[in-house]
Amino acid sequence: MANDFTGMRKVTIRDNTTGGTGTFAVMTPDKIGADGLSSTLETNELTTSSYAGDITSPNGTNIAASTLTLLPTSIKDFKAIWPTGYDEATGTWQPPIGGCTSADATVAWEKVCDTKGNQILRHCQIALSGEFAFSRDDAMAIEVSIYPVLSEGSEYGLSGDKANQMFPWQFYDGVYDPATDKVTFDGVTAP
Amino acid sequence: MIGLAVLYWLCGHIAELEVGVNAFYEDLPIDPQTGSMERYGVYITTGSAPMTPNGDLHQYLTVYVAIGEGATNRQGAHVPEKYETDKLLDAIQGLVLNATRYYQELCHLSVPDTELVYTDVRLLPSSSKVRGGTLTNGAIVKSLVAEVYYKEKEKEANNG
Repeated sequence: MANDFTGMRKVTIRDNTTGGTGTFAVMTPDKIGADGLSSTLETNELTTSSYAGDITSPNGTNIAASTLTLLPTSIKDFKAIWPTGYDEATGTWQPPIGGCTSADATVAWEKVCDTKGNQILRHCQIALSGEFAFSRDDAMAIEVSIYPVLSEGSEYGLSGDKANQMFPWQFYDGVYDPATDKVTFDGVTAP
Repeated sequence: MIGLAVLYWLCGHIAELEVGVNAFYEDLPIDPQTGSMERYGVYITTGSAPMTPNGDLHQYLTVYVAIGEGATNRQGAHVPEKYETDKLLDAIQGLVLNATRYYQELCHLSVPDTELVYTDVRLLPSSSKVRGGTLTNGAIVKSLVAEVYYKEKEKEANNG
């Protein structure tokens, strides 16, 4: 019955482009869509068509954008997700268009009630996209596109052979601290 | 007994309610000698819900409120029964509707004086208020249905 991948989640989005100090937003379970976070690896296929027949073989892996549905309930939530669109003087938010809202972000998808079965994407890009719909029957939901970027294993706290391999994300048991951008892994004493 | 754990949580947020005084698990107290209802109040019952092998535990809970003639509040004063019935059910409905905001409290629910501990509880609304029957003592029964997903800590430890 125990399943570490079920249960309430929160998502922490840390913007690493702000001078290295990093501003971050934490979206609590009541503001995350039921579909959760979805990350996809797709096989790239090479097909050779000859008179003898077609031969299809895998020749690599494509990393698709991850999608995350957020449920903002106020303009302050927009400010937390995309601070660059918020104007302090008027308390308004307007969509900043042009390029990635954040070209270097850390996204941590963590359980609320325990530390098991979490996912972190480092140095990913977050695009401002999706439908901003006022609807009679539905709360406003925004689908955020997260583009994983391959990062060295050392960025994920790995050592040895894995330190120099490239990874799009990491699953872990532990706790992410957005203030330091570090993960404390369960059962591992930090050096 | 996730229903009882949820009942304790609801009572912790509604000042008028206290488990064992005017909030009960599965039924209102009945006098075994006469078969008549001994107290008015709130009770919560368990309903069947679909489950999957790798999913969390799942249950429907029905919360009933029955306040009949002559009911008194905790100070002993008479209460208008229909108003009180709706007031209590509205308070419960509000908590269920907004339960996701209490996610930190719902991470860990226990039943006092037992070893039962439920974790990662997600309480969701399922259906709104409905008027039920009228009891022989004049109490109108109203109810609503909530849905709960949860994990049972003891079983997790056994499996792990």
